[in-house]
Amino acid sequence: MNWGMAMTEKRQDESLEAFFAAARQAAPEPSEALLARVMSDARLAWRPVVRAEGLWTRVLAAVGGWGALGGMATAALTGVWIGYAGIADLGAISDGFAGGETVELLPGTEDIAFLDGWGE
Amino acid sequence: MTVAFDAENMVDDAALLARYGRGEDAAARLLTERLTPLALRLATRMLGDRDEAEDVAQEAMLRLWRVAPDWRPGGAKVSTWLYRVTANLCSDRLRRRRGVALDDVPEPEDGYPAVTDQMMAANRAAALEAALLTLPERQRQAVVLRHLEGLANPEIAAIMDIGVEAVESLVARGKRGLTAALQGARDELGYGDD
Repeated sequence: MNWGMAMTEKRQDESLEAFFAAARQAAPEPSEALLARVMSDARLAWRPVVRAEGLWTRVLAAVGGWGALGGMATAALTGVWIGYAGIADLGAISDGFAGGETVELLPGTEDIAFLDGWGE
Repeated sequence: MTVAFDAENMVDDAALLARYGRGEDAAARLLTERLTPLALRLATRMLGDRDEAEDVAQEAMLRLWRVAPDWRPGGAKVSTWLYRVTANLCSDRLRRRRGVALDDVPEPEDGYPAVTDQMMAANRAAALEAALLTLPERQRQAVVLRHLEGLANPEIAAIMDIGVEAVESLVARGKRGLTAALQGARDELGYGDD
């Protein structure tokens, strides 16, 4: 850009700036009615932010929520208790088998012909 | 309370948008008061029609409310996004007014008669706004954003989805067009010494 063009642009800018300044001063302002309409839209358009689900949230949903999780915990604790409390009776149960008493595993099978001689 | 008011003014638009997303009415009100004027100013200068500009400003703000839950912090400035949406809405309306595709519209040969008519009873601001309406749409948008909204060229480039050099070119051509459009009536309005 030569000096003449630069001067022309400078004068043009200075000349226009008075108009720009006047227009900035006279900038349109929103009416109260417009602001009220925009606020009304804001309330009508509002929808909650959906947050990304974490692993724990998905696991919880998969098993059926907190209620189901409570049931599972109760069942697990019951199993632990039964396992622990049952240890004392294990000896009695095994003594019963080792004592030579007859335990009829298939009651009534003596009447079935094809089983004749099966236990001999 | 003044202190609280000042503190709220320090909160940036994206933070307010997040608060609106959590259902905070006061955040919506602050955003409304901050951003509606911005959309209205651009739309008024682009369309030259106050009623239509109000409709555009309301529609642009509605789109902001709808996008709020999905807004990503750290991305574009809210105001940049709103300028862009407003500009696009204005383009749609201008296209409908013309009833032809934007690319088929020839650049105005001469804007003097329309400008002069309006300048007869106008002040400088009205004269400039009338002259703006004689510019091709993209030049008008670039000049309004640069010289009336006071934005830097990189932000204008983001709003208009073009490069910074293209912005500079549009602004320069727009100002030459304004100078020419205003020249015809300067003496008549008593601005000969400006």
